[in-house]
Amino acid sequence: MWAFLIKRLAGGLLTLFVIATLCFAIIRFAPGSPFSSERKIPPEVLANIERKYGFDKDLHVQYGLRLRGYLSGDLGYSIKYERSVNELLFPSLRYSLMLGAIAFILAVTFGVALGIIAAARHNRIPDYLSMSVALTGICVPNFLLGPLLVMVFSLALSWLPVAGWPDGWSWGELSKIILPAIALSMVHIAYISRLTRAGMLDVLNKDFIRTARAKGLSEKVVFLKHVLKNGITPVVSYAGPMAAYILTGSVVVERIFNINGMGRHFVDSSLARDYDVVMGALLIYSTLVIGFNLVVDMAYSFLDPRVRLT
Amino acid sequence: MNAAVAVPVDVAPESRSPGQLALRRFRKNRRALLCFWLLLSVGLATIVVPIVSPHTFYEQTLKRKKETPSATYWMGTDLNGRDLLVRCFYGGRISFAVGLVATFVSLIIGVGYGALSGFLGGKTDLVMMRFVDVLYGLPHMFIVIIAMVIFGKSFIVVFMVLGLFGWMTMSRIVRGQVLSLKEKEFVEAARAMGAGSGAIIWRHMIPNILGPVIVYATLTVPSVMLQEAFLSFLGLGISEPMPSWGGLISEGSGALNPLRIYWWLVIFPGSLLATTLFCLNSVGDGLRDAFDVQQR
Repeated sequence: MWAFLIKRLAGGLLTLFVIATLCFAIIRFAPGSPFSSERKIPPEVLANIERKYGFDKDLHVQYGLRLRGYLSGDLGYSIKYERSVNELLFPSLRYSLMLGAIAFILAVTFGVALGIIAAARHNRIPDYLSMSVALTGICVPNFLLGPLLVMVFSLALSWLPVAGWPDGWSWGELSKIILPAIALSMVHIAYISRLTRAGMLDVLNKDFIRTARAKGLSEKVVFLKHVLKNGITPVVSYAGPMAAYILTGSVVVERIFNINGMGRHFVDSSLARDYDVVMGALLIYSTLVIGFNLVVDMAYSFLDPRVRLT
Repeated sequence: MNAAVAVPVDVAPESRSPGQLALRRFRKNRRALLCFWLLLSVGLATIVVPIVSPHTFYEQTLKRKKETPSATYWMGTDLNGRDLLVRCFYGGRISFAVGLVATFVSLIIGVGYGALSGFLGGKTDLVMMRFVDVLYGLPHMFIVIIAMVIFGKSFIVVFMVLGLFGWMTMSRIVRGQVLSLKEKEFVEAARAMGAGSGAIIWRHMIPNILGPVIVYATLTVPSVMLQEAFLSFLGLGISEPMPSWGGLISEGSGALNPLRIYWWLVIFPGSLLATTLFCLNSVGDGLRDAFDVQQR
């Protein structure tokens, strides 16, 4: 167990190092700079600005300084906003994480529920219904679903707010989060319901289920205790990649619903060549993904003791 | 002494290759077959409509902005008074082109890398697959976004970037197949008969890998198209005035306002994208079922 944790943490750190290096190489060797605006800057002024941000040093010196910064938890300095990257990204990360967490919970709850219904009524109307919902979810990506939801529920019916982030605890404020959360989680509801259904149907034919039924357990107990617990393992292994997809999806969903999360900073700062912000955001995302995958793998071995952590 | 022994060759009258059998099974799958034809007609329409239509994707009629669908403009006009029908189908051309070319790029890299890794085996294989693992750990869409911003928004960049980041799963599949095929009796038999590595790869490995490769490639196409639409939605993929489905949806979504709902700007490109993704996924699933011998 401890050996596993240490090994994975070391691997994670290595991956982060690779990402930082790769990203540094891509953005620094590419043409363009944060100061290449339409306005012509006199070369002396440009040299001054570059000295201020330390761009006059050799690339490998800059790279070393940047890495040392990461080791001490300093993500660098934003040229565009003239603030430290930590100050800029961490408040916005809160929004993204909150939205992502809600979407995650929605995806797991509704996905598993739909999957159970479909498996319990296999090849009957509820099965077909929930699988059609799943299929629609897979074919309608979040950047299409978002505008559609806004069109129907905000503009045509005026039930829910168009955009924004809750700024209080009233219903009017809290309801702002409903549409973005649905837009972000729908695809995953779809995938999870399919995985749950397939996993449960797979288990349903096993001998131990027959035994459970034969010893007189009610259908409900058989389903929720025996079938679900064994059929849900594919869902757990999907949770790792899902976290990454939700983070990616939040980039567009934040844009559609005008939420000031990290995804917007990421895209805006890449367009502005705001080097430290781009790298900082990428490293935060990667840390989240790597950490989440680690948790998922541990949960997996907990659910299925046959899986050894190595 | 070295008299050649003539081996009598029995040609079975009704022998079918696994590929033919798979095709047969695919034809029996009604949903997949329907989707295949639907997909083909959408694909044909993206070629034919921009040629036949009296409008072009860039021609603006400034007096007729944001018009509802009518007899002249079947899908209405966009914010700049351009015909949405032509833009939708022209955008489809681009989506399909990106989907196919980027998949092809990822196919070449993935098959080559995976086959090499599996065939060489041992330490090389270990190192090569560790590299794939590290790449898997990256949040690759974010790196794609950075790459798109840095290298500029052009076709070739979209193809290359999406292709370069999409080959890992393919290489794993191919490697697994090659590893198991290497140990099979018929490969051993071929080797015993004196066949060289090249002949073994070409005659025995490739035909046996082909099934899973085709299946996975079909499933890669929709995912690449989705990624292209995602990038174009963010304004990082194909750039104006060239339309693409993601860009069109982004335009429509930007025009949403409480006063008037320009529904056609979102609905038409959106439903084309959704239909295409649905069909590609169904065809891919159908092919997987048809090729999946274990499932029978």
